[in-house]
Amino acid sequence: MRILVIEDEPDLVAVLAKTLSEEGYAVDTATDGGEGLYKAETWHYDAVILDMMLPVRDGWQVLQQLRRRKKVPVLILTARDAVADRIRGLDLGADDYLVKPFNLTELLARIRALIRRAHGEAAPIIDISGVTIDTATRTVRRQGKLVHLTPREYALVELLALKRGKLVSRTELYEHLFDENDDSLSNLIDVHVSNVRRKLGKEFITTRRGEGYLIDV
Amino acid sequence: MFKSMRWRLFLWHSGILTLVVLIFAATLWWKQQQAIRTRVDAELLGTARMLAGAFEKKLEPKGKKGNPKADDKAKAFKAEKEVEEKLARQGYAVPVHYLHPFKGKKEDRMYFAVWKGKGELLVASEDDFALPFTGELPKGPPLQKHIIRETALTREVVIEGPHGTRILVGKPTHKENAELQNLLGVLLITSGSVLLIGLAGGWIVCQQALAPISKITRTAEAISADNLSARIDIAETESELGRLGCVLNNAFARLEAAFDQQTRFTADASHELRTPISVILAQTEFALRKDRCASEYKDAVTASFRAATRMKSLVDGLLTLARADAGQMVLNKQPVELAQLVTESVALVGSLADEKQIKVILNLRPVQVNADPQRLAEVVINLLSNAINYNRPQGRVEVALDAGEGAAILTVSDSGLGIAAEDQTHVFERFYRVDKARTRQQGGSGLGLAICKEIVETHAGTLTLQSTVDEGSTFVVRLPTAT
Repeated sequence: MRILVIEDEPDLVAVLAKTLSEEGYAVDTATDGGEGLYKAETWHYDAVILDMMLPVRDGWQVLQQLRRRKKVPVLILTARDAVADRIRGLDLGADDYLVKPFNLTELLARIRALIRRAHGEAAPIIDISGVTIDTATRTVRRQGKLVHLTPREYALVELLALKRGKLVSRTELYEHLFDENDDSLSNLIDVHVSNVRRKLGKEFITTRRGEGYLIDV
Repeated sequence: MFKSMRWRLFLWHSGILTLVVLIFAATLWWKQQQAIRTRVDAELLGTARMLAGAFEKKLEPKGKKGNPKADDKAKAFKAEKEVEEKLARQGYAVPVHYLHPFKGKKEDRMYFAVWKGKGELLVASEDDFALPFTGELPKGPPLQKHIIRETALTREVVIEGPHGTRILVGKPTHKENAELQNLLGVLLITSGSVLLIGLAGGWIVCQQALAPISKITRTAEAISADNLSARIDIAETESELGRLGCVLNNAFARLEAAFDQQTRFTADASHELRTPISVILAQTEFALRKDRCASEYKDAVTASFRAATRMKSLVDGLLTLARADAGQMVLNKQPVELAQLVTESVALVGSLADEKQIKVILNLRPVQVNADPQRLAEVVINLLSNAINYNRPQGRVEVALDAGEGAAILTVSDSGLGIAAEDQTHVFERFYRVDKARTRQQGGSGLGLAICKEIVETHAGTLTLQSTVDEGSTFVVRLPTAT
């Protein structure tokens, strides 16, 4: 999953990016509203974390503009906690609201919930033919036994599982698993897919030659 | 009750009205009584004098000839003819028209009596005339003075008649009394009505006039810290109460503005504090999520340190401003040589200037002021840092110190980007930043200029700004000189 963090406080955006990265997300950042809006409109993200007090364009403007084109889940981060502001943010199209200072763990949980809901899932646990994916703890079990996956591998499994039954093209996979700082070659995807097959079973991921991958149900 | 203005006003009004009405009625009645008496007295006097004239001859003492029958003459006359006949029988030829007043019903008609000395009745118009009169006539020419006798039912006049006699003419006054009684009744009723209407009207007017005060009181009571936007409803603004309402509304508006400013300041302050706190929280939580290597910990701790330092300077600034607001800024005033202070401050920011490759040019004249050197240094350093930080690459900062018009004038000019006109008025406001991104990088909290202004103004000076976009800005500090 790929996340965009729009926040102007350098020390804060750095730690957010590091945390999300450690969690297995691909992270892009922007330090002003103009840059943030551009990136959000141009690429596909699974969630956007948006600070409201930004230079160039403030968070409200970014939110309003973004909502004209994109349905990506948006979580607002701000030091303004007045109820009127919260209501305004939610009504302008934000999906969730977190007041600064916030708890990193809580932020991560809310992001997970947003992404889950965006894919039409209600519960954090997905069961696919013996493989249980817990999106909350970001763990995978096969026949009840915990399977160790690297963050990238887990991200791949989670993405295909959330889009199960649908074909996911290689481009899409690339866009969702790597961020702008990654200059990896796209055949890294194949490597990850084969690693996952090794750990979870060959039939777990289906290949459509020349088109992409999917998890069959 | 007596504390209420409405009641006091009403009671005063009632008192005065009642007094006026009573005086008026009493005066009227008394005047009327006087008029009636004067009329009656004139009538009686005229008649008495007329009688005196009529009896002049006949009352002349004639020795013993005409007198033996004097006692028998104490008879009452009943009718005009009778009177005439009686008088004629007694030898008094009194023309009829003189006797006109003495006719009529007994209870209405005038009567007279003439006597001599101490009680010798010579002639009288009534049969049953009694003679209790013993009063002395006032001295003076005869026939001019008179005595008035008044009883409940009659009024009489006594004059000195010819030849030492006394003539009394009187009349029953029940008609006049009735007239006066009537008048009294009318006056009482009218006064009563007037008073009633006047008092009622007075009460209503009091109510109307003072009702706005109750309204104002109630609205003012409703206005509190939670509800400062209520205003007194004023129908007309020209009257005294209307003006009072306006004045109060203006006071409330000023209070509301001051409260709003305070609220905004507090909100801004807490907002500013939240950001560095968020950094510390996020960085430390990240560091503790799992075991890490030393350099990661170091990064997290360094970032937290930066944020904590920002918080400290913010809190210091807030405290200074709060003290300034409460009028508690303590100044350690002493004679300060400004040129020296400026030179020292420039030295302190020297490394910053070098780092940014900014040239600092000094043009200082010696001038003394009475000031707190630490505070002043804060101001100078702040202005210098701003000039250096918000400058173009390889720009310049010019610092000039001069004296004139009893003031020391310090100017700090930079060759930066200038400040737009619409921002210039706000630049000294707390937390105001023209370009948020740049200030954030410098670590500025937006309080620097606000604090400078407070310090300068507490020293009875002024801090102003002149700026042109794309050319630069000049900050001017004016301080009263030591003399």
